[in-house]
Amino acid sequence: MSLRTINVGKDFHRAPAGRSFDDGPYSGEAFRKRVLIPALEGPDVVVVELDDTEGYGSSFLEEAFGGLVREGRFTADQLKMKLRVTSSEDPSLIEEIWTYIREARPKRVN
Amino acid sequence: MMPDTLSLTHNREETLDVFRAIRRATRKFRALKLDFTTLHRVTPAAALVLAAELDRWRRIHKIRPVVFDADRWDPNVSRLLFDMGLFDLVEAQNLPVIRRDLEPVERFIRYRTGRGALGEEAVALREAVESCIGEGLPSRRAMYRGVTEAMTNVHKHAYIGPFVDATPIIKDAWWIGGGFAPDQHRLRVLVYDQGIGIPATLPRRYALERVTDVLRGRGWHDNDAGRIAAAMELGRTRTGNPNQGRGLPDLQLFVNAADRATLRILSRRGEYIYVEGAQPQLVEHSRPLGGTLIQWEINL
Repeated sequence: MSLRTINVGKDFHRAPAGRSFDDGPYSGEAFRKRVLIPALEGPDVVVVELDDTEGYGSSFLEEAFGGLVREGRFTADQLKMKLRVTSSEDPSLIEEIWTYIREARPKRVN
Repeated sequence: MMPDTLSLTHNREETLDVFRAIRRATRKFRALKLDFTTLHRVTPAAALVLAAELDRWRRIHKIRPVVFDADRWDPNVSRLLFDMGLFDLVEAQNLPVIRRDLEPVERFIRYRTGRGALGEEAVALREAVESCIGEGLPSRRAMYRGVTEAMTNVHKHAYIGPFVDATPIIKDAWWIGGGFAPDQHRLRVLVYDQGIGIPATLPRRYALERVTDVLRGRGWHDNDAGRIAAAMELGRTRTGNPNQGRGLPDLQLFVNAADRATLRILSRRGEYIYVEGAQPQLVEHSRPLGGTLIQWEINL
């Protein structure tokens, strides 16, 4: 099993904030679409390191990670196989992210 | 003419009168001339809202409000308002000499303004706070979380309708700032917006039934204060984990991360006061604030 590691602070931005693109330049949606999804679509297990940032708001985390399921790109079970989340600075974020993934419901397509 | 004290806690009515006068001048494009010579006390919260009102005037009318006789101001007030950044907003006749030798009871942190969730602005505020208190802020990540969530909430929800008295708005704008009282080791961090208020946005975010259920279940009145509390309650995760906020509940985490801290939210007529482990206090005032003010008070 090969791993691909993403460090949010170094590979995205040290001050992530906001939910969607129009909230700001380093939003959860931006992280999901520009960094996370391309990595998850590859063959490796993706390890997201949450350290090296100023912190995270729930809007950013829910959009970045819950959005993976809500937007229909992955199921929660798929993410259990493909995604790892680590944080030494604030380990409570790990369970928070998995809660968002578990609770997300795919949007209905009309 | 300013009252002796600008404070939303100790002199709310006269403080709101000042804001109302500025807004009236903004709406009617009347000359705005301010006399601060009678002002002797001002809190960080009142100063931030004052700065936001003057900023709004300046940005809408493209001219600066005029202040008279700045050299006759109480020197403590001059120092506080200078530190807050107010002098950049106004055109002052006879700029006062800022008394650096005075050690004010409270040091104000320069306000910042912007639109959207700007993490770098939250970082700059945190750095200004740490410069003011002279040390690193232990709960810095919780502060970052609270401030950026407040910014996001402003962008998503605050400006979906006209201001309370139809004063022109700077859409999506927020103002952040704070103050530190060294003798009491008391830090205040503030976020203010000129939106329609949390009680007005609540019905647009949650079904009426859910709002009513929460209000009844918790025994809260269906007024502005009750609706702020309901908004905090409805924002929680299904797990009910107090360490997992969603949007508005993120504001509580900065309080929970500190030993002795209080969250205060003023929006329209409502006031919501949260301390970890206690039931929130709710106060319904007779007059609306205009916008929403969030204040964290941390005893370091």
